[in-house]
Amino acid sequence: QEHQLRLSHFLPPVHGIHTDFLQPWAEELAACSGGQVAVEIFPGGTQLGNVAKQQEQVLAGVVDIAHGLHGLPRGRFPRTSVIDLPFLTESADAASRTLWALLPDYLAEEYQGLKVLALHAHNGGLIHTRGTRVATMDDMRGLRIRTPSPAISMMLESLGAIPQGMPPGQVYENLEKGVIDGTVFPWDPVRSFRLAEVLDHHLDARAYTVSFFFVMNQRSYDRLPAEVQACIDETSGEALVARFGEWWDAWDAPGLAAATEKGNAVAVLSDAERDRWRAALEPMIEAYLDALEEQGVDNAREIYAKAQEYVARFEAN
Amino acid sequence: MSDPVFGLLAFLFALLLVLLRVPVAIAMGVVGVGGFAILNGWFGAAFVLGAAPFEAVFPYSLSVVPLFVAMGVFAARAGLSQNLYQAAGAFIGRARGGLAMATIGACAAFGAICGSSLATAATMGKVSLPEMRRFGYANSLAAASIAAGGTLGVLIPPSILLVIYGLLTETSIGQLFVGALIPGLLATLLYMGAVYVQTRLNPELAPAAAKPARGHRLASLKRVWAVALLFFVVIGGIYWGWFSPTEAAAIGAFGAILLTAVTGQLTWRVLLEAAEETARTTGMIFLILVGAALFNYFIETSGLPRLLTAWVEGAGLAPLTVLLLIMLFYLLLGCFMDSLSMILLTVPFVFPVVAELGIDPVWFGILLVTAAEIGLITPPIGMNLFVIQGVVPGLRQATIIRGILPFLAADGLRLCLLIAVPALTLWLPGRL
Amino acid sequence: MRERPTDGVLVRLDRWLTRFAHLVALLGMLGLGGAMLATVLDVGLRPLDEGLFGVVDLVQLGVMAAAWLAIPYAFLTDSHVSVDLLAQTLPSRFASLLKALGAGLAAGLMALILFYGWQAAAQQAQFGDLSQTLGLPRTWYWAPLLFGAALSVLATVLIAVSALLAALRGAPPGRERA
Ligand code: NA
Ligand code: NA
Repeated sequence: QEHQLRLSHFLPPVHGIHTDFLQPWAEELAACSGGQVAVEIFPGGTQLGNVAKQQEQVLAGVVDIAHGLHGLPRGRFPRTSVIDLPFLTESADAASRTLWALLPDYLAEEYQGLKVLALHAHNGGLIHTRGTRVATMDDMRGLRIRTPSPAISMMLESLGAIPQGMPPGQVYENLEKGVIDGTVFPWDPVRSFRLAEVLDHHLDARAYTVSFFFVMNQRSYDRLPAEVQACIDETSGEALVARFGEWWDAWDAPGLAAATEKGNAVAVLSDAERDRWRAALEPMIEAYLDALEEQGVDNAREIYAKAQEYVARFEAN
Repeated sequence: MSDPVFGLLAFLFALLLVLLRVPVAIAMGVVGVGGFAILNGWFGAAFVLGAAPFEAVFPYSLSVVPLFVAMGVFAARAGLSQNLYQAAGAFIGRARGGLAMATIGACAAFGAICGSSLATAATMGKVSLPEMRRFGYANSLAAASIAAGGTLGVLIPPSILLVIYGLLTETSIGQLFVGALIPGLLATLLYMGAVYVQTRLNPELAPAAAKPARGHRLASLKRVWAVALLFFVVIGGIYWGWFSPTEAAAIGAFGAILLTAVTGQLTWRVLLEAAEETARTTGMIFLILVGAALFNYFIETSGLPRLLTAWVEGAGLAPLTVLLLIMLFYLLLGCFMDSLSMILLTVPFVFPVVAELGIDPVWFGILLVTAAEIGLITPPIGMNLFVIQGVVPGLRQATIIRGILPFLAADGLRLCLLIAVPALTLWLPGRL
Repeated sequence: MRERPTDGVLVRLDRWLTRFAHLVALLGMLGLGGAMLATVLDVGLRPLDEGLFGVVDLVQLGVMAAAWLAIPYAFLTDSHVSVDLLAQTLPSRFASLLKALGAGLAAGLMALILFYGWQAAAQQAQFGDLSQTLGLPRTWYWAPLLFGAALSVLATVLIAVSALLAALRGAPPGRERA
């Protein structure tokens, strides 16, 4: 092969993102280029697999391609973070397509120096607890809940809970020891981090999402011959984004299965209660958008409105 | 020259620098940065220099390191680890080599609340080394029994290495902890056996201690109350869920300071000296973490570890043969690397091979941590050997290395037993 | 064992720098003590369904300070592990030369860490990076690293120069630390 590309991500090599998405993608690219390109993958657990460094290392060209979390370190993608706002979207498919639709006009500024291969977000997240059953908003009061992003921290505070920031890998231990009472997550980590073992209640609130980037260093891309660039274009973008809905459903399914198998209580947030939560969170959403505007994202409200519009459109079909 | 070959040569160059008296952390860091720059250009190396020194210290879970160091320092000041050691000594100290066995026992007890083997070795070293010297024990036996005993801190749960392995491979942490109990006990007994055998063969290593006065055992147990209380709070707190193992370090350090105060030992002078000691050890350990991070960025991008695992995989051997080869690989790697970076570096590539061969992940996890932990006491780069050297200024490296050999034999025997009889690891988790 | 400088100016510099690094290290230990107390308070409040908000952020800050402010002190008290197998068999001149080599490499590495750490810190400040829960500026976390690296450069340069002088003069390796 003439071109060796480095791809890094932060998930364990047994995770679906590695086995279903990134590894096959790398193979597909190699095949399309007729073997001109080989992709070497550095997963979580390696030095290049630090979740908080993905954006920086792909910008620096230490890796050519990176898959990372928008929210870590916090504040790097303020525009994209609009998708984090609670009760905006329920499905990974709609959320991912929304991000992709927003990208050219509203988010592109945040990806300077990068060629965006895909953006995606997980299915509407749940509230998982240990020892406490959460059915209504009042049950949230005083619970210590692990939070993935500032938007969810604000949401949890508005709901009366005490948000606790911590890396996903430490949730098991802290749940087991009662340091936290619960966590927000989609279904997937319930199985991939074995959280079913230490959880006993799952409230399917479809409350929020967390989004991911899959990007390439622009200079790395520009260095490649045209036919390889064409292969990258072909295997990324809209066609790739469209697959995340199915993938996330597939990655989530074992989590639900693990919870059911252990005999955990799985409840769905009723529509009436969901409306109550949504109403209670209105001021929080306004405050979040205010903060974004203060940070210099002057059109935060416009992006949010546009996101709502896209979500409605994509969830309809 | 291919990248992996370059990686291997750079690896050997780092060893040469270490032999030339360059601090281990600096040798790893310099070779790591230089090698990375040659492979990936200076732009990449600049990124690594901006990222690794921060990220090697930043993770929350690392807070256990300085806090357990502080706990050990204060426990020693309050005479806590001393009391523990004396209690163990009162029961087995009279036998030939008994004080070294008591060291092993006290290390095991300390390991049951401490996830770090460095902290275990450093703490027990302070306490038991002067005692063994006082009774005329050979420096080689005294230092080696502490270095070896220290490794129990990583095997006996709670263990940071097992948690990291569990998260990397999606293996149940609870099962891993329970699975490590019998191997941890086995390690303790085999180390004591190593002391027994070598002091039988060479009585000069350990003169028999004076016969303790009547009632000595009871008296020593009475003085252990403070230790027992601290251990009870820390262990109980972890097992009954008052706090997480990470937080336990802070609780333990606080408890140790409190007990220093209660026993009337806490003066400004003691506080100052304890802070100085904690600072020296903390600075030393974290600089090594920084150096290892810089080094591992380079080794990882050189493709050396992957070449090795691809080679193992490509040979088409029986699972047991592959397992033995992997263990051998880790033992060799352990001669030159610290256990944490070794596991972080190789598990992502080794584990898929292991999983494909149908090897039980809990069993493999215990074997892996056992092998990695043996690396802590294998020369030339064995972290526990260095720690002991740090604890006892003037102790020669050669002296420690001579003393460690019987314990390495015990480790080899243990690894063989664990491989030959998987039930030693898997029986207890299977009962859950 | 660290050969101390025998030269008048260097002796004074060495004494002054060690005293300063000592104070800095103690400041780092205050950070560690803060991390400890924050955790204890958080655990203590737990039965009351209360907690210390952002305790993880505080602990990380304390540990960052403890580690990086202690590293220069560890250099000056010769607490960093090195293998003296070979050095013990060599004449003291060569041993001093090796010492100078180690300290010189350390000075170079710490200078690189300082320089590129500074750039990374500036970049993160520009990004407006904040700690995960409390939203403390990342600069707070960088400060001990940069300060510790700078002080380490001074310390290792001093050690390298002293050792080099000892090697050149062939003097017996200065007074040793008590
Ligand atoms: Na332990
Ligand atoms: Na070793």
